[in-house]
Amino acid sequence: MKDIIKLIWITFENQMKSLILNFAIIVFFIIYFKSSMKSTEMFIFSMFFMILFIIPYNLVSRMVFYEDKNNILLLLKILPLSKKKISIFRISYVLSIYIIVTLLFAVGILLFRDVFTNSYLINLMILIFIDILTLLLPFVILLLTEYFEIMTVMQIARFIPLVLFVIIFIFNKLIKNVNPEIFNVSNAVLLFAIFFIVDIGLVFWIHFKFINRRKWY
Amino acid sequence: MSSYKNKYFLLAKIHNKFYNSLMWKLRNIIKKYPDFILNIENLSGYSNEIIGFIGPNGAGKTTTINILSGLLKPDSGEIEIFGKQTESDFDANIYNNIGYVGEKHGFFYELTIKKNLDIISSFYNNWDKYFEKTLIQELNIDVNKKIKDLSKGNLMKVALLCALSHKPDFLILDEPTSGLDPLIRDKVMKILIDYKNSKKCHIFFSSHIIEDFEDIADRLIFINEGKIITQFDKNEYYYTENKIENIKTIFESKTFYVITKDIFNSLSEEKKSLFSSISLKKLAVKILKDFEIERYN
Repeated sequence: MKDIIKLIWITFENQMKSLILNFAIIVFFIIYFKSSMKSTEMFIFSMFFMILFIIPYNLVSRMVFYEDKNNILLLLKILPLSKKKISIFRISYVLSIYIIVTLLFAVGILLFRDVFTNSYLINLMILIFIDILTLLLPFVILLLTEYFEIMTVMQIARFIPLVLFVIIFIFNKLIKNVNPEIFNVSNAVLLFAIFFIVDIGLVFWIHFKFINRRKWY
Repeated sequence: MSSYKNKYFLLAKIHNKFYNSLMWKLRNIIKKYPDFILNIENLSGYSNEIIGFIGPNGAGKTTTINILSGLLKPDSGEIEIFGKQTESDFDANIYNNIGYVGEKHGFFYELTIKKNLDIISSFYNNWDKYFEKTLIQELNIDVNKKIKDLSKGNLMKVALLCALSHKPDFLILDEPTSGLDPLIRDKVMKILIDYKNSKKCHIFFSSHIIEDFEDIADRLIFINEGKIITQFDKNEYYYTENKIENIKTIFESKTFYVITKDIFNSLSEEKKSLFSSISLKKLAVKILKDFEIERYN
C-alpha cells in the first residue's frame, strides 16, 4: 500500500507546476472579470467555474494521460506490480480527484456564502459542479477499462460546461430583466439530466464505435 | 512466498547462465482489429540470444511486442514467460526480470530524470545503482534534465537506461534505435551486445531498419501483415532461385532458398555457383517483396 500512496503522490507532484499555472490563469480571470463585470456574483461564478473546469481536467488528463503516449498506465504495466495493486491505484487515484474537486467546491461555497444571494446562481453552481463530475466519467471509464478512445469523448465533453457558461453569460448580459425563476431547481435538474445524458451518450457511442480497436493495454 | 519466488528466479538465472533455455513462447496468438489481424502460431526465444524482429510499418511488430510484454491482451492464445503462463499464472515478480523499451514511455514528464529513476528503481528489488551510473556515463545522460525537455533520442536513451538498470534476463525493445544519431546508435548497439554477452540474456529487438541487425542479431524473424513469414540465423546470406536437390534448406519458399554459410562452404564449386551472396538488407527486401507477390498472385 505504501508504494501505491507514493505513486499517487508522485503523480500529483508531476503536475504541480501546471496546477500552479492554472491557478495563475484563474487569478488573471478574476482580475479581468472583476473590472468588466458589474455583478460580484458573476465574478465569483466565473472564478468557481474556472477552478472546477481546469483543475479536474489537469489532474486527470495531463497527469495520467500526458499526450496520450506517455502515461502512468503504461508505467504500471511494466513495473513489478500485481494486478490487484494496479486496480487499487486506479480506483484510489480517481477517488482522490473526486474528493479534491468536491472539497474545493465545498470550501468555495463556505468562503463566499454571503455572496450567493440569488438562488438561481447557487442552482447553476451546483449544476456545473455536477456536470464537472460527470465529465470525469470518461476518465473513470478509461482508468477502469483502458479504452483510450474515451479521451476523444473528453475532448468533446469538456466543452459542454464552457458552452453552458457562454450561454448563461450572454443570456445574463443581454436580457437584464430575466426572471430568476427560470433558474429554479427543477430546471437545473432538467439541464443536468440533459448534460448527463449527452456525456454518457458520447461515452457509449465512442465505446461501441471503437470497441476493441486500440485497446492496447 | 516471496522468498520462494526469489529462489525460483535465482535458480532460473543460474540455469540460464549455463544453458540456452526457453525464455518465452507465443502460441496460437490472435489479435483482431477491424483492418488488421495478428496471427502468430508459434514463436519462442531462448537465453543468450538476440532476436531481430523485422517487418515493414504496420506489419504487426509493435502489436506482437505489446502482447509479449503484457501491455496488450490477445483475443486468444497463450503467452509463456520464464515457464509461466502470463494469463493463468500471472506473477508480477517476472517484471523484475524484464526490461521494456517501447514507442510509448511511462515517465513523469514534469519531473527530472533523476527523480524518475528514484521512483522507478524503488519498485524493483534487483535495481543495480552502480550499473545505472555506468550507463548514465556511457549514454551521456544529464540526469538533472526534465523528461519533457528531452529530444526523442535522449528519451530513448533514458528508456533504455530504465530497461537495463535492473539487469533483466529478458529485454524487449521496440525500435530502440529510432531517433538516435549514428554515434549514439552504435553506442547503444555496443551496450546491448556487451550486456547480452555478460548476462547470457535474451533480447527481442524490433526495427524496420535492417542495418540495425547486421551486427547484433543471432536470429532474424520476419513479419508482414500480421503473420510470421520466416526466421533464420544471421549468417544465412546465400540464396538461389533454382531448386537444389539434397541440400538442407533452413528456409524454403516457392520462389527461393536460403542456406547457411556452413552449408554453402561444404558445397562443390559447381553448386556454389548456383548460389548468390546477398546482403541482409537486400535479402529482407526480397523476402518481404516475394511473399507479397506470392500472396497476391
